[in-house]
Amino acid sequence: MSRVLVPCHVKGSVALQVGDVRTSQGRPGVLVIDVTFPSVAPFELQEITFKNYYTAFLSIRVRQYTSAHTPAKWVTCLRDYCLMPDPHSEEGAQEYVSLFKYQSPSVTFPKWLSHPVPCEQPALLREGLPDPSRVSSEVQQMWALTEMIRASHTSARIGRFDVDGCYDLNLLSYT
Amino acid sequence: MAVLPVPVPSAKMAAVEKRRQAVPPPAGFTDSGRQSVSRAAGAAESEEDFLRQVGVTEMLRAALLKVLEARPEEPIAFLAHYFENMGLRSPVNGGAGEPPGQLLLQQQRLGRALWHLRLAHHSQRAAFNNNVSVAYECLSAGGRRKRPGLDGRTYSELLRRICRDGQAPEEVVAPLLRKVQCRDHEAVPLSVFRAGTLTCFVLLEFVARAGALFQLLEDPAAAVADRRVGQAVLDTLEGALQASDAAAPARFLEAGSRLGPDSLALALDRAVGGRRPSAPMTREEFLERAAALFIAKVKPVG
Repeated sequence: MSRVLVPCHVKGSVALQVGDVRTSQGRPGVLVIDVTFPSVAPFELQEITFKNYYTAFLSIRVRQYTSAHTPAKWVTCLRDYCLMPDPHSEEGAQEYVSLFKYQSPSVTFPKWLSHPVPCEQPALLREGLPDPSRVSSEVQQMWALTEMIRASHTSARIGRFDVDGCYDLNLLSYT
Repeated sequence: MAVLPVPVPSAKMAAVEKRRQAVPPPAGFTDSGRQSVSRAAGAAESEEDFLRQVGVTEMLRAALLKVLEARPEEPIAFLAHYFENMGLRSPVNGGAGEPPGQLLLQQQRLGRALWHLRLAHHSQRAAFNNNVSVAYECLSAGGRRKRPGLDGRTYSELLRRICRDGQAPEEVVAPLLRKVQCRDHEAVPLSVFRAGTLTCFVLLEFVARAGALFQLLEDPAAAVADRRVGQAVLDTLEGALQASDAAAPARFLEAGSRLGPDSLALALDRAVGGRRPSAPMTREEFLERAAALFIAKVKPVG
């Protein structure tokens, strides 16, 4: 099967940033690059090749037109794919990258990490239960405070050598 | 006509005091007028000296430094309390009559130490530690009838006051106090003092968060929460606090996963969906149980 280059138009990168891009001072961490395909004929995308330039993580979302009647929807193909193992090092900073259609993670994740994909809707909560995100926020803060205290125990001792109850008069020896 | 020199204000003085302009008198004063002129000249010259002599310049400088260090949300109220406390520090009633009794001195010291400890939030760690040292020195200072050093009784009293003023219920903080208090006769070193006071303040914040959490869970009409829901939340927190064998980052990830909204929603759903009937849980009970989870992780003094 031969592979054909699909003509595409790569737009300039846009920073995802809260507030006015011109006036605010921070350097945004997330940039979005739009790629459009001027040709109308449908095709099946097999491979994306590019040269990285100091991007650590990459997500790819594709807007698919399934049929004439249903509206186009966005589908996430790749989420936080790691291009640079350490963002502060050079490894992977200027590499050529090829992403294939059937890319799948080869690492096995521990069980507690295998949550449902975030874009899936969680099961509808029954009526009358408290808002889980607010409960979660409070509980997380309580957890953080406890962890902090657990970690900050002092090694200093007060020099207490007695055992509980050793000052009890009846236990003191007369000899 | 005498030219009255205007006192040159320093930048700091300008910030806190109104600049006083000396008004030059019109020409042709009478004798008595000339006298008042010379007096006014002397007063204007020594205004700055006067302020410096009575210690106002130094006091205001110290006050401003404290404000900068503490960064309170309400600076004016903060300064008001600061100056109110300064009154306590000066000799009582100008030294008239007999010197205050030992008990009154003790109460004054405690009050001052408490005030120092409350200047900065415990999360502002550098400022908080600073204030802890000052409070410790204040309590350890020797007096006429007092040996230098901090005794266990005063330390325990201070911890009780911190918790009481923080509006935490007695039953909630009692187990913590049992763990961190010192015996009356024991000498308390600074490190133990610092750890104990920090733990009390963190517990107060923990109890406040637990109170806010209970408000989310409670039925507003009945002022109680569904026991199944409250227990489920506490059990989830307890589970997240269990120390697993994994190293720190993995442990945090696991806790974060357990305490995330999706996971909590599932836990709540499961709790209510079971066949156990609904029963009420009061706020006091919820706070006590939540605090117990915190206190379990506190290392007892020894």
